[in-house]
Amino acid sequence: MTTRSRAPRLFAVPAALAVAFLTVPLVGLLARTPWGSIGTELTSPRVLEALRLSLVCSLGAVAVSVVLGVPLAFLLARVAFPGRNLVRALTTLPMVLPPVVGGVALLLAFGRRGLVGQWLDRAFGITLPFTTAGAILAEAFVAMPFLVITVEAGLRAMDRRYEDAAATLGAGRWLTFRRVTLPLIGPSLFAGMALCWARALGEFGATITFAGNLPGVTQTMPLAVYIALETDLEAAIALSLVLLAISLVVLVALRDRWFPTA
Amino acid sequence: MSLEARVELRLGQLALEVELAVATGELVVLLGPNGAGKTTLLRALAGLLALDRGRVALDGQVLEDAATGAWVPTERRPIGFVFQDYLLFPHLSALENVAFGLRARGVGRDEARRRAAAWLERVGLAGHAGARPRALSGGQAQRVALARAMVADPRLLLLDEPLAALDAATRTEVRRDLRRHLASFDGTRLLVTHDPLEAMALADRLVVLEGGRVTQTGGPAEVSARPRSRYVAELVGVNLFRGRAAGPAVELGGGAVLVTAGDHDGEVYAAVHPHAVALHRHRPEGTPRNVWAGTADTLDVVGDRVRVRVAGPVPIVAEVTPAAASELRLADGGPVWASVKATEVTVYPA
Repeated sequence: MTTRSRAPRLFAVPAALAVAFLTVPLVGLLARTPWGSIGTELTSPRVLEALRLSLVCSLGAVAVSVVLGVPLAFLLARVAFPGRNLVRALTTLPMVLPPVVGGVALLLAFGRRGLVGQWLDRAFGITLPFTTAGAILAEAFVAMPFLVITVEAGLRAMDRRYEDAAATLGAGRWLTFRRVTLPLIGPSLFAGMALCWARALGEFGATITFAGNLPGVTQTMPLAVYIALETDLEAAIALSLVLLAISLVVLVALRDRWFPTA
Repeated sequence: MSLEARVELRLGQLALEVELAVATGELVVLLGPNGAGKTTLLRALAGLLALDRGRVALDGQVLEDAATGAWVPTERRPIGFVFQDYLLFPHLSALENVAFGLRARGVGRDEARRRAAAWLERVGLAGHAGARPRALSGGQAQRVALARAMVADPRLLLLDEPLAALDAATRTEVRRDLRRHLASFDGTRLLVTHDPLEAMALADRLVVLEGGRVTQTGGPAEVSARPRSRYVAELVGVNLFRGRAAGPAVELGGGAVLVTAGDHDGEVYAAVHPHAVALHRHRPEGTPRNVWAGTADTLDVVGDRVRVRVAGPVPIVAEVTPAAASELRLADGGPVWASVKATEVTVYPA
């Protein structure tokens, strides 16, 4: 059966322009790629260092987001506490906040003389700005909301009666969460982690503002791309290709979720 | 008495107010239309819904008492629950589903698996231990759910429409198995259904729940012989009248009178079986004491009989043979006379 389409004919023109606008830059990137020397570019110490640091920071940010974000998502989805909507709004704010502003805010909170930072410094001798831990913090700040809203949606969509069934079988809350809830929201958790990771990997503004741009310490791939653009275009392109490849992998991994049988 | 419960709670439109006592070893079937509060009652007994008022005690142990605040959480109640759509954990195998309750109650891994396997064998699913619920048929899933609920030896077994999710063909077979497994259970059993056949086949005692309240309770034979609500009367297929008796006459309201063979006084129900209702094209002469004019409204073939709904001042359903139906040309509609012998009317106090 073919459904007769009812789209206004004129839409074809702006739609085609949109497709071109969104894909031409990627074509440009691929066209300018120095395919001959890309192998050496990708294995240069500078690229490898940025790659390693990016993986450490982004995976660290995912870990922080899972440990803190899953319990938050659970409470947001299941417990009608006063001020829940306010909490949800506040915790998703970093998604729409300009990352640079996030970086400034982090600096004012966790900087050496910041609200929490000066206490961390005095009590434990911990300083976060311009450290790898600071870069992880900056990435988690920006990326965690993606995990929280995805997991919360998964918890809301799940049939809660499975948890009732677990309770009638003698399972307490923690066991029920571990053995029933968590496996059932597995796909949502996976999608949330993938989104969170992709966002953390591409993080630029908050990281450079809060953690600086120290090679080997806080200079992750996006920062390295930006710096390389001024001095070594081929290195910038090589790094960009790596990020593009990772984005494609995330897109493919989540395709069933975003484009169900499209 | 093993289960003693007084449950009062409000949930949306439903106001549930039920007193229920079930003896050890007794199988009580809760029968009622959709929305009567049957599932809500089971969930309240399991502790999945809190009571507004009331008390639930099992074998003398108080599980919940709204007055004192006493409360045993669901996971520590000695219950087994079979859910309407079974709710087998989709990420676990049949064996793991059955073993879940044992593991949760602290039984070691090997022993839990051994006991779960023994139960799967008991319900005839030894060969499906490794299967995921998705790969099981409806009847198989039902048996896994039953094994899962019974494996930890609960003292109270709650079953919510255990056959409703099955198609008619498997239902008969699964009902027979269910009856056998329920018979092997020596604790207290409470089963919910809206299917009268299922209720009659399984129940030691029926509790009819309508609009959040118990409207009738008794053995299946008693309930079907003496229905106390229109719902039950329709389920068991009898004509039910309510009226005021004075001697043999029952005043039905609107001037209609039903003459009976007995002697009663006050508010009563009167039940008349459709096969005791005779139809005529002309006003019958002679013995029948109850004769009403009406029109043949709808005709249904039920088995080898024709059910005729007669509309009139005393609406009544009659069952006649197909031969009689065609002889009387009932399909044409038009006026008919319905007659009932006084001896065919069962009268009991309202």
